[in-house]
Amino acid sequence: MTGAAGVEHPLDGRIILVTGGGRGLGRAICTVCADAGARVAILSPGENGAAAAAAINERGGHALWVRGDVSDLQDVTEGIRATVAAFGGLDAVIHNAVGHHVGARDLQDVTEEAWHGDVAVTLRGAYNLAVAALPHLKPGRGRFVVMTSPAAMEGSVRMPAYAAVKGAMRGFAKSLAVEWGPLGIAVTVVSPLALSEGLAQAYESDPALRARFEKVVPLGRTGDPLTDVAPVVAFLAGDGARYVSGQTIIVDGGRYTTL
Amino acid sequence: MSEHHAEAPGEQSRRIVLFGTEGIARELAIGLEEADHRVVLLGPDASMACHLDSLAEGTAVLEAATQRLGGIDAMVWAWVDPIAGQQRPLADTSPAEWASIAEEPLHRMMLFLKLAHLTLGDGGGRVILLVPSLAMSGASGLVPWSTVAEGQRSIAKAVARKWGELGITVNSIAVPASLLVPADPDRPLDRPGLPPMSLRPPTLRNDVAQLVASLLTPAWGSVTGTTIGADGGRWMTP
Repeated sequence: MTGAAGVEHPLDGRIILVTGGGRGLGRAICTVCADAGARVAILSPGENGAAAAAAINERGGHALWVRGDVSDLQDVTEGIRATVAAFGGLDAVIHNAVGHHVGARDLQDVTEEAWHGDVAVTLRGAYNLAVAALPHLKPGRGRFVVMTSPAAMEGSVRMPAYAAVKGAMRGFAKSLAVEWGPLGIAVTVVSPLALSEGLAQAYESDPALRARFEKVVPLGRTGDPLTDVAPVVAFLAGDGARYVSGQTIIVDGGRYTTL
Repeated sequence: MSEHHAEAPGEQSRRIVLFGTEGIARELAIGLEEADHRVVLLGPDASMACHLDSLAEGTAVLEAATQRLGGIDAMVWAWVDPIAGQQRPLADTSPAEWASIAEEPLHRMMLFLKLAHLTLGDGGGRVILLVPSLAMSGASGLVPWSTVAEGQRSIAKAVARKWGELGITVNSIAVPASLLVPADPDRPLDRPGLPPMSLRPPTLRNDVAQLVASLLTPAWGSVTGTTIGADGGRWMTP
């Protein structure tokens, strides 16, 4: 779709809820979706969701922050109700929120509390979103996108707990895609290799790390959340991706080529 | 069952602890014993009861199993609660059911792997996990089960990478879901449209147990982190 100024707005008229949209990749996804014409609701527990929504509105977009914890079904239900009330519907859910409780830790050192914290945000969050969003998602238009990680497919020496929950997200999405296909709702997974806050800190503390890391990426650089990854996620929320479902889209500069 | 196995084992005999639910674990154990291995069953229905509610509980039971066998060479995971196979739309799945079918089994798997590290970390060994092949293909009405199954495959790869230096291999065997939970012939567990099995349907005792036994041999010493399809040639991964 092309707007009056000749600028393409492929998500015009779409209403998208993004979890964890207050910072990092989530904020980039919100920005790109809003720039593409979508009305964006940001579900996040922190004030950074308000800042992200304000920034989008200042540049002429339409965004709403709903304070809420994705691991809490009541919060999610309320967030979706507020989104529908403000924007008139819901077309897509993008579950980007991730727990940061375990981090890089050997399996034997993973605590019960940290494990349950990450499972709650990632997995229970996906369940909560799916259950609460389904009544609003329309045939042919509904999208449900979840984020995974290279760790989910390759295994991760440093983050086995993260690999577990991100791998589980792929199982969740594949079966949900089969289940929701007859309803005309597409479910997809995105596996990004992008400059997260954690990776940026690691680059700062070890300047040689970036070169070592990027050497194994055929395109020779670390992905930019705003310009490399978020546009792919936005594409999956739009019309162009209506026949893509059950797939894991790997956005990593060509690093993982097994499939 | 193997708890009573007292004969002198052959040279190829391995000491196996099999964590599993009744039926699945028993069939596997019989098959493994027929291959001259010594097996102790641990699980909610086993005589050495284990619910894996906590690491402490698992450690205590595993210590008893270790004493009984005189050491452990391999740990096998074949634990699937029958409710995992009850097909229902995700939207009709309550939060409690979700937790019971997805979150709790994944937690149990994490504890099992912690126990494997504690048990095999000094001398190495083999860890083998059974998963339903629908983890890879997806299946309607079984979102919670496929969630935990893919999480299981993923964490297996992660620890396989880490534990190679300890001499521990970790591999998954993907079997038809109908081998792991009660199946209604009128409501197939697999998604519609999958090709039929190329081979005859496998059985736990005669096929899967023999594959597990094979994975315990030196021939598989350089294989880790992989998923071996044992579903009769139905789901062929790219």
